[in-house]
Amino acid sequence: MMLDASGLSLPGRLYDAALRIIAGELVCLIGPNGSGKTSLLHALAGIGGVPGTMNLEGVDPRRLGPAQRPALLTYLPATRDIPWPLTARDLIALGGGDAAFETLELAPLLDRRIDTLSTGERSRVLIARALAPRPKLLLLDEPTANLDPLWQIRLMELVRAQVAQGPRGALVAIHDLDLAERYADRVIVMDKGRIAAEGMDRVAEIFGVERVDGRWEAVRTRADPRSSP
Amino acid sequence: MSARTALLLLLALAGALALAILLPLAPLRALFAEDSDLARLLLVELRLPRAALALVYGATLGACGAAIQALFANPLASPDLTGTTSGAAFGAVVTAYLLGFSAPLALSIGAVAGALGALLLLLALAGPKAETATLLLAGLAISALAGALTTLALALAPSPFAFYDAYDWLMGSLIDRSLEQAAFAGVPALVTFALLLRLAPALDRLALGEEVAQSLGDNVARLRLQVICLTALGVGACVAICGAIGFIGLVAPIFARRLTRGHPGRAIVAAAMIGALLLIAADLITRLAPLGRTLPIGVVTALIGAPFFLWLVAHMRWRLGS
Repeated sequence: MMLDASGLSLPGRLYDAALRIIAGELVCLIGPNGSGKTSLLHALAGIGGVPGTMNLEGVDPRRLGPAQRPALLTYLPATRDIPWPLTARDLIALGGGDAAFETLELAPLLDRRIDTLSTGERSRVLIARALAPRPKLLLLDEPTANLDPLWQIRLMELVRAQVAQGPRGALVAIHDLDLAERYADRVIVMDKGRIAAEGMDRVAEIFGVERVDGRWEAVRTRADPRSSP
Repeated sequence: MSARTALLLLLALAGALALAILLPLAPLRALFAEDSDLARLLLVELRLPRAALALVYGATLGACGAAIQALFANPLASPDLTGTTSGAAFGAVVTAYLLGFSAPLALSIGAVAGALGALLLLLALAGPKAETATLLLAGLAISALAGALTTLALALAPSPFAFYDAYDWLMGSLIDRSLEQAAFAGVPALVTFALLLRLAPALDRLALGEEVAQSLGDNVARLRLQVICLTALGVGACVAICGAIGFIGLVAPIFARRLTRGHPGRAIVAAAMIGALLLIAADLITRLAPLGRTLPIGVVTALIGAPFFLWLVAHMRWRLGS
């Protein structure tokens, strides 16, 4: 077992979550808005507290300081706001990574200031900040947001490839159910601050959507006000 | 900041210090010809403390400005705009009424307490990640409150002498301070500077956002408390000796970050040097301006700083596209 975490709780947001990730596994985290995906990532990244127990290859990375931690885990938040006009190269370096990181086609962006980039370009730079230290555990919150379809695919393949090298794992919160199904070794479904299910079986019940002719459609139930025409 | 830039700044600082001690040259030279002991006394007792205080106070304002701008992730967070200096001034005036202006330690403690109160109030009002508007409004409210309370204290002055002393001191001045008083500002300022330097890497990482900084292993809540206490200590100690001097803490970090490619933590050293340079220059202007009298230094820094501040606000508005 590469990662073994349990008893993860954050008051009012996350209730006694537990999960395991084996080496080489890309796990996607899905769930409705406010279901606790970000809270679970926070609990594992040590943001706003160090709840429960966590064992990543023998250590709890949340007890380590900035010198050691990026080699063990990195976290990409959903926000793409950076308050200071740093260059892409400096941002990656501040995150503990090597700016010579050769993926995501960043070369033309590296010496530009982050505030002069488009939202999608900025996303790529911030993703690179999380990937560049090549951590054991990648925690990504909505990495595909703001990316065009080609970059969404490239990114997920990049995460796959990085996880496959050495004993690494990734936990990726994502809203795109198709991408989750396509790239995840395993899907974890969250609902109301708890880990509710594994796999896609309860998606219709939890999300209120179902697959009709290969497309996701709102479930037409009797009581759901959203289904009225 | 490259080694060359650092060296240039250091040279400029050394030059400015030399000028601050030697200028105006003519009366000094005349005095040396007449009575060299008296001239030496003038250098050691008057000009040296004044130059040293300008160096210490300017550097403290620059370094603390850079640190709280980094902390609030906002280029407008500075000791004056956040109400820190007015809080310190209020704390010092109250202490002065109780114990007189001749008790520098008590005065320092009062000013530091006032500055700390203002910063904690700001944190409570504006929140840790302050929007520009909230930060400015909260800072304005705190400045207004501290200003009003200071005025009230002046109105209730126990004697006309106490009133005059306090009023004179409030204008901000580097004049007629002894080396001992300079030490009362200098020692806390040095402690502040040294400890802020240790926090610089964490403040740089805070530029990635609070969540990322925490995920990298920084204790952001502790960092916030450390920066606020250190700023209150440094600024409070300087205000206690020299009164409130504005705008240096706003302007210096903004220039400094241009030398550190935008890194807010690394800018602390550069901001300290630029702040010292600015205040020494402002002090030289007060002495050399051909008006037949010495200008209050706070007036000079405000006259230089306020237009810059206006430009900054216009620039930010333009960049935000509103």
